[in-house]
Amino acid sequence: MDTKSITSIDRGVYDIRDSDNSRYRMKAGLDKEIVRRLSQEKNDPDWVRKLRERSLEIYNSMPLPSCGPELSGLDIDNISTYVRPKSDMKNSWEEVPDDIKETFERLGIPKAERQSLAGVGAQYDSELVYHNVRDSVSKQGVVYTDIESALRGEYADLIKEKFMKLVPPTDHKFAALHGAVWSGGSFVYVPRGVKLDIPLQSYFRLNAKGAGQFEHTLIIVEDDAYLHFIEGCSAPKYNVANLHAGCVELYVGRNSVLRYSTIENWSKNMYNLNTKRAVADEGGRVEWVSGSFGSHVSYLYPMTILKGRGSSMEFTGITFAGEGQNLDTGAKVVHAAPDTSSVINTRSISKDGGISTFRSAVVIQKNAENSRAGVSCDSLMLDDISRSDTIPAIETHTGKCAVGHEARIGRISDDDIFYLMSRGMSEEDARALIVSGFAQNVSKELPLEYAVEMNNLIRLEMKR
Amino acid sequence: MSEMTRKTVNRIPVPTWRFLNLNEAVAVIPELSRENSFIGMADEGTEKTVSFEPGDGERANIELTAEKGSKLTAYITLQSTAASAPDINIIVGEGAVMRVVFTAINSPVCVMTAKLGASVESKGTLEIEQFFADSKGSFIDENIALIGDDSRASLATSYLCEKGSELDLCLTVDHFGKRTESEITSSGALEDDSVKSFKGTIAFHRGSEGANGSEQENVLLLGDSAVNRTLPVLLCEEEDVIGTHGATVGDLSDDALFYFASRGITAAQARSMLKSSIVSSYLKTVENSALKERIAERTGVER
Repeated sequence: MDTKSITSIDRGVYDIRDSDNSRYRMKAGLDKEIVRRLSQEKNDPDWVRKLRERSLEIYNSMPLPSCGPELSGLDIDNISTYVRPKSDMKNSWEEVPDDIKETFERLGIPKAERQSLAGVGAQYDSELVYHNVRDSVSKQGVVYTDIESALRGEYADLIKEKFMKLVPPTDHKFAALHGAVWSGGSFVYVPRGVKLDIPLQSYFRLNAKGAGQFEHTLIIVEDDAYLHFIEGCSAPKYNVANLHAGCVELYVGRNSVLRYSTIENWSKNMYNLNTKRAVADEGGRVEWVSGSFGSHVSYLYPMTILKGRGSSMEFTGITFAGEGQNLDTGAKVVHAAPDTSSVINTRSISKDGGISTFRSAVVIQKNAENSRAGVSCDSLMLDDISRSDTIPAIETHTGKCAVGHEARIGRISDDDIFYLMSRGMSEEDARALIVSGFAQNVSKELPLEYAVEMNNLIRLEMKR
Repeated sequence: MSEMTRKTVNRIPVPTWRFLNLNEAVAVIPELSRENSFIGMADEGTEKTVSFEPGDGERANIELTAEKGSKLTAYITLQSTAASAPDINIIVGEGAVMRVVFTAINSPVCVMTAKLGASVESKGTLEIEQFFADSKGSFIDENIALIGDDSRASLATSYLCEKGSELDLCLTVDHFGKRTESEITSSGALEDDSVKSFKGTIAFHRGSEGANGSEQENVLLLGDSAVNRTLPVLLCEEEDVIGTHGATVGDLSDDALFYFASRGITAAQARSMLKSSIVSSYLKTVENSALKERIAERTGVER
């Protein structure tokens, strides 16, 4: 990796590094021995061990993706796929080691938990260090736990039935990588009829240098239920590559709603090759809210399968590609039943040589009669050294459907800047305000604290 | 019987996911043994109209040049039985205007691979109006480079895809010069078992300040088993540009059908009217009466 290309503004709390005090660090690289050692370390059930082995074979046999940013700076032989922190998982912040606790304090996680969350999972490098859920939530039958405990508990069979079925290892090379070396992550189960008014959150922090994080999130929302799940992530900046190849699988029952919000703020040495997929039953609804601000390279396309009649999906996203970043993001949706609907509404911003690509696919299958889909993507270019591409695809197999798409690309209007400056704002502040307004499609969908964080991230980028 | 060859054609400038089958197309086309050439040129400052129709089953190399300040109108018509392969090269000089009316009314069993490459110099204008009747396979690959400042291009495509036909449109406009303008429009109807792919790319290259490009595709789905693929792409590495694209895909809305029914027009009649309107719009751009007749006869639409 070209270390000269790693430039970043002072990202304050996000860039504070803890000293490397891991309990165990797997040697770099990926081979059968490493996968076997990992499985031993984690005392995997037999089916998980076999899944890892099969996934490694698939990984070795698959080519790199044929489209998207180049990955030549990512060398798996230089990535440590497992770093165990010095702390086991706790359910009280007082028991978490001071330096790790302080990291999450600076990121505002314990405070958010106290003020506005139903439960929190905090992952540090390859393992969860904290997991807790409010009693009032547990009493409703909601399960929110680390996935590795859940593999051995009451929901073991359910997890085995669902795990890596929506995103099988054969899906693409990095899904296979995930299958081989996954570690950490959360399991959420919301019983029928339970509507959780306040969100659950998972936060992922990758502190180790030259390491990977491969958490797995599995959420099952039964019929007539509601859940808002928030995911946050960050890592300090290093001059070597880090890798994130997580996986999210969401099952949404009949007439249920699952909102999945993410503010991604990995450092600009990170290769973020994440896979997220949801399936919705009859009347079910999936709402994605996605803010992508970090990473050196991103491949991120949350996908929804509208399997049940009348199911729906809404995707709202913003991507900000700054110096040294190549962010390839978007969404996919498959209408696989009648009367389904989807809306994709995204914004992207490119600055200081950043490359932002919006990539989408709307597929309407033959049996998806009376389905409706709309895609809107707006791109803002902030200078003439950056790049912005939109590559939206529509595929229909039935005559009884309606799809609309629109996209625009352009720059900040000089008239808008002049107007704000005539009201006493500096040009820098005027630009930042306009860009924040451009991102409002996402910020208004987030809880206030996260909207504030997102706007702060935008301001940080604009102040370069 | 001619030997069949498999050709990979219509590669898009920036690939997308393989599962969409849009990155390229495969045409299985009979070998064409006969060649024909045509040169149409308007000298500097002059006006000229030319027309050319290759023979049935001929590979055609067509050069069209409008020199500085000239005006050239070119009618290219294809009506082949089994196979057709026109290769059209266009140069539009400084301040020149070229209009190309490209009509493909091949037989329903014909396979055509058409290539078009154009460059437009400063203040030049290129207008292409084209129509593709249904055929077993039509693979159209067109690339226009707006190399001079203030150059313009418009590419208006209409088509009818009827039972079992395949149409693959790969249209690219590259903006290199400043204040260049482009417009890509595509309208058509798909009936049962037809397959259509539209891959339109507008690329704003560095230095194309003040450029403006738009793409619009409207697809009328008239058959339950028609397959439509649409990929309107915008590529941009210049700040001071405006790029827009839009697409609508679907059948007549319930409101539209109700409106027609309230006027005594059945759904089938309404769809037939819309299909006819696609051809009629194109016929307005064709000045040649004999050609109009042939198009109307081929498509079954009244003039």
